[in-house]
Amino acid sequence: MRLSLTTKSTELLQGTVDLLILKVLSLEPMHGWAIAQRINQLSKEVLRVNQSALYPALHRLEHQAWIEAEWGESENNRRAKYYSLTKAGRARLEAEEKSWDRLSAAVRVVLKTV
Amino acid sequence: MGSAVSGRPSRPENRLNGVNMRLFQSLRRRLRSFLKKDSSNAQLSEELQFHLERQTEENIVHGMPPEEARWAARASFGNLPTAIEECYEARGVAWLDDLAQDVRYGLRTMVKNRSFTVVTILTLALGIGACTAIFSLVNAVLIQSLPYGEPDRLVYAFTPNPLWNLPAEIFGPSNADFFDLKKQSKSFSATTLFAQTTYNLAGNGRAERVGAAKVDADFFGTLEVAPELGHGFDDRDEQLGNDHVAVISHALWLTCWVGVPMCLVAR
Repeated sequence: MRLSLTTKSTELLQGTVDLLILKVLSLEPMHGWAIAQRINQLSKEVLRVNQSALYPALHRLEHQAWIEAEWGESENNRRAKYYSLTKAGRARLEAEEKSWDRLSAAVRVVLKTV
Repeated sequence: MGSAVSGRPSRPENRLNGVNMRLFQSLRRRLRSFLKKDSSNAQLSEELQFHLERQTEENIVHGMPPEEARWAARASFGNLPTAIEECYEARGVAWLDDLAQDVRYGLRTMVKNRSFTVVTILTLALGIGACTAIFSLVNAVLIQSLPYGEPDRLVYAFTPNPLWNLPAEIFGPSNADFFDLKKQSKSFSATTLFAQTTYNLAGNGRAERVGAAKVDADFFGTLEVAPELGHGFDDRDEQLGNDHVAVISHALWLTCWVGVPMCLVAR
């Protein structure tokens, strides 16, 4: 099954996109296209971040100063906007991961018992 | 997920600094997007363009002909105008832009409909003026307490006369009635008499009509106020022949005697 993540649907999914972006950027600075590719790869092609949701999310995170952007040279020798985590963003990721673990564990418990 | 506001597990003393720092960065970023809107829009367009080209290349690598690769990249992106709009909103200053746009639109409409604008401004001016005037009155009469000692114990006595079709409070007791009241009543700790009138004030080559009140010796004592300079009236001032005394208002002192204290002994 393939899941398409958009910001339009629900707050939960929007938070999920933010979390995935922060996680992927914790590895290394990346441009938007690579972020989408990496999420797709890491999820074994289950999660597909809708591109029209990816860029608003990136801009929102940038304007909230969780991530910062810098123009750099891409792998195909063109100017691309590279995003990287800020110090605050790293702390944010840690907190979001914890809260995601709590949430998913709780949902799993409910699904198993009822 | 939305419940976690901030997480900085170690070094609590740095926590506030970290949060402030982020807010500062965030504000700076927003301000820059707002002030350099054209540059921000150009950068967004370049960023999205890069994405489409990168995806096209990827498609070509996977064996698509260039034209089809371009089309597929564009199709896989989803709704491009919506994405641009949402990126713009994500800057968090869209409302400021909208406000500026609304103000400009409002001004243009006002310039176009001159007569409507004039009528509107006049209506507002009159409305505000009337409200201010009414409030000044209400404030002086109802809200501010009277500038006398124990204003809540002051009462005003009047003798209604039903023969005259006039508001009851226009008639006060006659002088004779007042002195009887003063002598026989046990309800008041002090009573005073005043009758409003006007006088001609002449001197130094000019004459003026001034509002005044004829009062008795207890006037200042009853109201629990004292003149700023000199003294109020006492029993001697009520004696026949000694009764040509006056206490003047601060405003009259300033306009007619230019605030010179010596005038108070001049005739």
